[in-house]
Amino acid sequence: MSKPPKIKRRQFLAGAAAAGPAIALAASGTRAVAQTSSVPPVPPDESQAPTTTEPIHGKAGSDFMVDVIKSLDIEYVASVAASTFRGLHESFLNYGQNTKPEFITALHEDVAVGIAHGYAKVAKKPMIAMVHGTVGLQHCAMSIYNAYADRVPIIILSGNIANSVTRMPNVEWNHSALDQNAMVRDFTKWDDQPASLQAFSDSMLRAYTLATTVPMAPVLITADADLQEDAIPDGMEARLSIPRLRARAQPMGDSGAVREAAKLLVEAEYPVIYCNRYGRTEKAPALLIELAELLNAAVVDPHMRMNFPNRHKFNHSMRRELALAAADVILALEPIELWGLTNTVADVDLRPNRAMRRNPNLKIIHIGSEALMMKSNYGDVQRFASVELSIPGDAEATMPSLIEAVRAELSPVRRASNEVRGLMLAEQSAGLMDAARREAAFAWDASPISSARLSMELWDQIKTDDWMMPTETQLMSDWPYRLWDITKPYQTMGGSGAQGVGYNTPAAIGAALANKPHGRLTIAIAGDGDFNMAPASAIWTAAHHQIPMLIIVRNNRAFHQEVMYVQNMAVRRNRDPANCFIGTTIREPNIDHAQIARGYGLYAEGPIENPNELGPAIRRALAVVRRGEPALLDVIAQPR
Amino acid sequence: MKHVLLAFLLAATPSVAFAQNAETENAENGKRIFENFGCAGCHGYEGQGSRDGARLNPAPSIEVMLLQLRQPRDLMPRYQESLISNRDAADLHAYLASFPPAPDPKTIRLLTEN
Ligand SMILES: Cc1ncc(C[n+]2csc(CCOP(=O)(O)OP(=O)(O)O)c2C)c(N)n1
Repeated sequence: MSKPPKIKRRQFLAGAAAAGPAIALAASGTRAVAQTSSVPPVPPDESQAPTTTEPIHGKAGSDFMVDVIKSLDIEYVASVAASTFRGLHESFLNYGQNTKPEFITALHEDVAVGIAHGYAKVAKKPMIAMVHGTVGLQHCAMSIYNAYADRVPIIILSGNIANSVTRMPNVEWNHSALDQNAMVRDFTKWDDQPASLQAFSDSMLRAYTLATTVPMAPVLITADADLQEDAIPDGMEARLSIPRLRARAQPMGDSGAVREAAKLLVEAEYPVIYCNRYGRTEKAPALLIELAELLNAAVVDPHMRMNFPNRHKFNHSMRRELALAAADVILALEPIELWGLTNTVADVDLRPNRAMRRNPNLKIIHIGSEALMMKSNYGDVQRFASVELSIPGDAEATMPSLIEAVRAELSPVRRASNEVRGLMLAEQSAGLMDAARREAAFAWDASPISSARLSMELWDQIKTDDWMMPTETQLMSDWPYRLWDITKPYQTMGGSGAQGVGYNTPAAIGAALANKPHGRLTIAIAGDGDFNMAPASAIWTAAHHQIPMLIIVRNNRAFHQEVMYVQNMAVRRNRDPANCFIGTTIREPNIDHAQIARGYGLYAEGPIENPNELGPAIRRALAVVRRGEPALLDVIAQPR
Repeated sequence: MKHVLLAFLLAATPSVAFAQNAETENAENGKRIFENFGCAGCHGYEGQGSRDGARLNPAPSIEVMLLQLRQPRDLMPRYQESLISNRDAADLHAYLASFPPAPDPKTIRLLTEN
């Protein structure tokens, strides 16, 4: 049986477009005008040449692309539908049966990428965010930057019509570019624009491998629209191959240097472990507990990942400066701001550099992957720090060998003297919880509701659940870390990476998506500024896909961080600080987040101003979440 | 050092004595300053403190408060007298002193049971 001829759709359209005006002119002068405008002629003139191709028989290019993607075991593709990847979109749905990956509908590209960011931090594997050529990629640039700075893998797919002859006039030109990837090249680990299906296959595998090898980061593949839409030419399919994705190791620190580090740690009088982006997998906290207990060392954790249980007797994060000042050896694990461990730039006039109060004999051991990937343009590099022992490598991957080396170095005498230090550390941290409780009692009954009260009203109702909190807490004075019991290796995931506001809600939705199969209760707390800066339509995606999660809008009716900055500037200049609310507050009118949420299909309550009404509202909202749906509470909160 | 500074401040600002006169203190004016000048932004509406500002409940002595206003430690900007006069400072202090005391955490179920 002879197959119908495969016609290149875009080439056909390009031919038709070229012939169009002439045909139209012959038929009618007025229609010729319509042909050259962006409005298609209606009704269609049946005397014209047919404008549709024969249906494609067999496989389309984007079907093969889906084969490639399926080989990577990717669960989801979050996307805002768009024509530069319509071939892929259709292939995902019909050829790929909308499973692995399943389509997650987003209403803004920044949300699609934010979802992928949060998802990867919980699922520990990447998903796809698929965004429109040029405009979609422009929309999500900030979220890509956040994920890059946060060292989180995302596979970003985009479309482009590389062949200018197959672009329809007008819009398709605007949505195509010579090198759109350049726009985000400074903050993606790798990108490509493969020119053939085989190249797509190779590039996807390379992209996935690079994205998931430490230092992890987003990667971008722009898939050519013709390549997606056209049928695979006869005889080519048999020649196409998909490289196998195989297990890969993560880069580990040099063994000699690790032994040296172990010696320094064992001999230290007061070693402190500082960990920032350390916890990459769910194994990380247990390894760090093992090392800290072996050494009897204090741990300081600014919780950019789930690194260490907050109530562990060696967790000295709440007395961070005291611990760091006493240290004679600091082990910095994926520290981000290494220079900032011993120095500060004071936010006062002329920004003086100041050395922090530290032990004069302090030695710093650094294990981290920063040196393995660095780009020049954005300030992600941080200030240069010269430390005694720097070990490039993934801190978590290096941890088992470090633990082994420490064990080998520990003499019985050392072990015994370290245990004495352990008792002292436990004593030092014993009072931290009670002190935090005393602090929490201040403004307990205040309205707006205090951050401590908000934290505890929530904690009281989730503490026996299998819960997970995907949002940042610094702007609420870290109360959850001070008062909750955070022990399981997936219960928190740190923050945005680049402090690009608008991260929390989309990332929380992604986290909740990853939590869903585990039946975990996702509870997110987002500032009102953050909630509104990401398109609030993000929550529609949660409602549409029935992603269960509680979202609390911590509503201080401001970009409060900026209130403080402008107030500070005014006072420094001896000018009226009362103007600091202009351009920084979100009042007049007050935003009714509950009404917005209901509009997007969520159960919602608020504004809640009375602290005594908060507990019951949380109970009602959690009942909805436990049924498998998202819910939102708008809580009027103290500034911090 | 602190005492030297304080002595200097007290000597240089004769109106401090006036500011300390309880009869002239006006907590309402203090509230206006505390909220409109953005103090509450870091210290909280009831002076509970936060990551960004010290707890002001119970209120520090007026001397300590003045010292912090005029020669701040940490990152708080310096408030000159033309911005917050000593008289306004006294009112501010009166307002700080009016914050309700914190309840005993042992009487708060959410803090004892968790
Ligand atoms: C994209 C972006 N725009 C602006 C900022 C500056 N910025 C930093 S914090 C902040 C306020 C965020 O508001 P919210 O989440 O409500 O927290 P709040 O400070 O009010 O507690 C802003 C606007 C930023 N970091 N990122």
